[in-house]
Amino acid sequence: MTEQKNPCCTGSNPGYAELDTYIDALKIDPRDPERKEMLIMTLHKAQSIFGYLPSEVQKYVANKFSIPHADVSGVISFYNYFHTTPKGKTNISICMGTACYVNGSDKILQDFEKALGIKSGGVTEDGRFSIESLRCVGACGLAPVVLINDHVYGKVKQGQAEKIIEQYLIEFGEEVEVQ
Amino acid sequence: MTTRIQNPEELLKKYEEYKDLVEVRADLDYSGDQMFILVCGGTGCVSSKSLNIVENFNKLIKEHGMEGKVHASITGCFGFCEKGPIVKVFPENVFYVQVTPDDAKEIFEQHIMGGEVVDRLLYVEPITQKSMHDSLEMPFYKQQMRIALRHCGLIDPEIIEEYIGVGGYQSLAKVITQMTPEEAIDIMKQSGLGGRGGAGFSTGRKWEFGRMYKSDRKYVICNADEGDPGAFMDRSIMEGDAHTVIEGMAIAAYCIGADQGYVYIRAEYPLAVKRLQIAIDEARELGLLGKNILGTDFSFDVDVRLGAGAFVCGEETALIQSIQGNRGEPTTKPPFPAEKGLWQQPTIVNNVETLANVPVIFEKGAEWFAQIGTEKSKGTKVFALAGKVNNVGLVEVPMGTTLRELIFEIGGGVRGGGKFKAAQSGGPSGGCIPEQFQDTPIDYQSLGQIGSMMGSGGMIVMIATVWSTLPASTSNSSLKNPAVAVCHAVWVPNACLKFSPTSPRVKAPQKCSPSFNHLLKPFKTPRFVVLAKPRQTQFLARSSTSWMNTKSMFTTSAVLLVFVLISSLMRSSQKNVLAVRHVLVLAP
Repeated sequence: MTEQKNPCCTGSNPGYAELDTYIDALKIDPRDPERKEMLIMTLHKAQSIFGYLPSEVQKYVANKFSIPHADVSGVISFYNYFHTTPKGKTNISICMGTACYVNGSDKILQDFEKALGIKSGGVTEDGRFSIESLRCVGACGLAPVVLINDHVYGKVKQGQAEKIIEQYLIEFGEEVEVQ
Repeated sequence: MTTRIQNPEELLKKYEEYKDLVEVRADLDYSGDQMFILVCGGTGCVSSKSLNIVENFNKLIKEHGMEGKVHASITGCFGFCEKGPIVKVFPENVFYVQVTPDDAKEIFEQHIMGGEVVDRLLYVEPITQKSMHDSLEMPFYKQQMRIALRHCGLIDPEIIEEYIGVGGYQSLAKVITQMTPEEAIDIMKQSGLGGRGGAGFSTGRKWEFGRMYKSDRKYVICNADEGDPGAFMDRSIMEGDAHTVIEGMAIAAYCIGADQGYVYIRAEYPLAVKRLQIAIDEARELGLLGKNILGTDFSFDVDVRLGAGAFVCGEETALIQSIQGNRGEPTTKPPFPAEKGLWQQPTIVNNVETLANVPVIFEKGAEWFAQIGTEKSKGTKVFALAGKVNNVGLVEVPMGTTLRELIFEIGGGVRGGGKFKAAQSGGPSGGCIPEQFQDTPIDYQSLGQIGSMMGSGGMIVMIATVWSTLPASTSNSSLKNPAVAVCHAVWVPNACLKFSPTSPRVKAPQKCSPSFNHLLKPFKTPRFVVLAKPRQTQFLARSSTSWMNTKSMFTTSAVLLVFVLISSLMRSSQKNVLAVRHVLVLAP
């Protein structure tokens, strides 16, 4: 995947100040062999600030921890939760855990793909929406489950994709200009 | 600022003080005039706006000036997730299902003020069509025995006073002031509690190993990386009763001599993370975590570490790697973590449900615990019923309960009137148990004998129209991880088996089953499909999770199989072989 240059994470972004405050509080000793302990927590923090972990952020974190960039990159590529390309503003995740799967979550995924015209893992051209499939979120009582950003929609039926997106946007979404 | 609790006597005093808070809920013969409205605050119910329900109740209480007499709060998961959000009214034990925020007004005016139950919102028993007034009479709850889940649906998980009010932290006080670590470990061994993560290894013995290795730094890790699809009991325990887990960890730490603990929890569980953090902060504030707990020499603190979406990190050595900030790749055992774990120091890793059982063992005694369950598997097990079953949710039953009881009595049978085909136990590395094994008692040994495993307790019910290879293919992707070279073993009836130890990549026997090739289809990725007898698949399943037990299970053929298998994997795959897992697929 090619890395997209995003103005959010280069230069003097206020996000770095926030990340700095977090990392400074950890008081990392560059000689401590156990200094990587908080690396994953820091990457979580960084991803929550920037939305994703582009190479600039990775290098920045590596520098702060006094570890090679390769170490940070290796960790990021290992864990599904971290991603190096931006997601849509509204990220739709469809749970593909077994309980959801036996209740037809594959069809729900197709529904959403059709509604937004993108495939799982993709982002719409305007960057507003993205779709991905997710590992079990443990809300099996509500299977099949769809997560829009952090909000859970349970017992989703086929044909509801557009309605759910609409409902989400009305309740939590950014204001949309009506033309 | 709350003050620290200095000694066990003060803790006891607090208990007396807060007991009334929960008395109305725990005491069946309560005769006071207090009323309590509890609303489920688990992930499932929260997503159906249960927090708004509490808000509405609190508004109504204020409007009617009934503060001090009627209380409304959130609580942990009631387990009956299918019918959420759940609202329970005490002391009558009335159980309302599928409540909306707007229903709060009706419940409040008709039931709380008027004393008349709102029939419309009661649970209707699907077979008899009877509405259930008292939750204790519901078949779903009647056969359950809630030990690990004892406080879920009873206390507000975000208020430590309520936990102290149900006797919380008394076990810790007892252990650290009245027992030596050896005595406490003996009690754990006598109780027969086995690891609830799936392997069932004796918790007492694990702690004994942790104690045996000398070091000035030791660690206790709570494994809350509940990755098995379909399992959500650990999440519910942490969301509903996080203090129990902390207390269990503290007891474990005292036993092995650790002063630092970690909870390694999935990032996919934001609510559980939040509740756990609240609980840790509260416990620190009261001095139940930190230096010199309850005025003793014992110091212990807990920190939360987030996972980042790697299934393999549920395996303890991978988990330890992850806490160290590395890629979560498993390391070989031995050395076991009890000898060289986190930062090469003695470490014990226990599952959430295991730890939740610990305080109650010290409260009620090892004998009490040991009389529950079967001869070899003691206590209870929490199962997450999911898939095509009527009562989807969390149930806790004594070991030895049969699958039939679990699915057809407690679970209310197959949903939508379909025909039961199989139940997957133990998640993707477990197996699908078909109908003919319905009467197998659920315990570690029996499930192992039929080629499945207890696993963490996910129980996904499938009906005849669901093609069992489909979940197998999703499991395939679930297990797809750069660190894990996955091996799938397919269990076919013995008659169809042409197993050759020299060539594990056996082709499908043509004449055996016409659908056999279909069975193999989902495994498109270069994984290996191995035909094996149940006994051998059982070995494979266990080989990934518990090398500890392998010695006793070594049979000549199994050894042969595994070595041939691993060497062939090594040869044919670019990746290092780090774990071998299997999925059972049933041929018709």
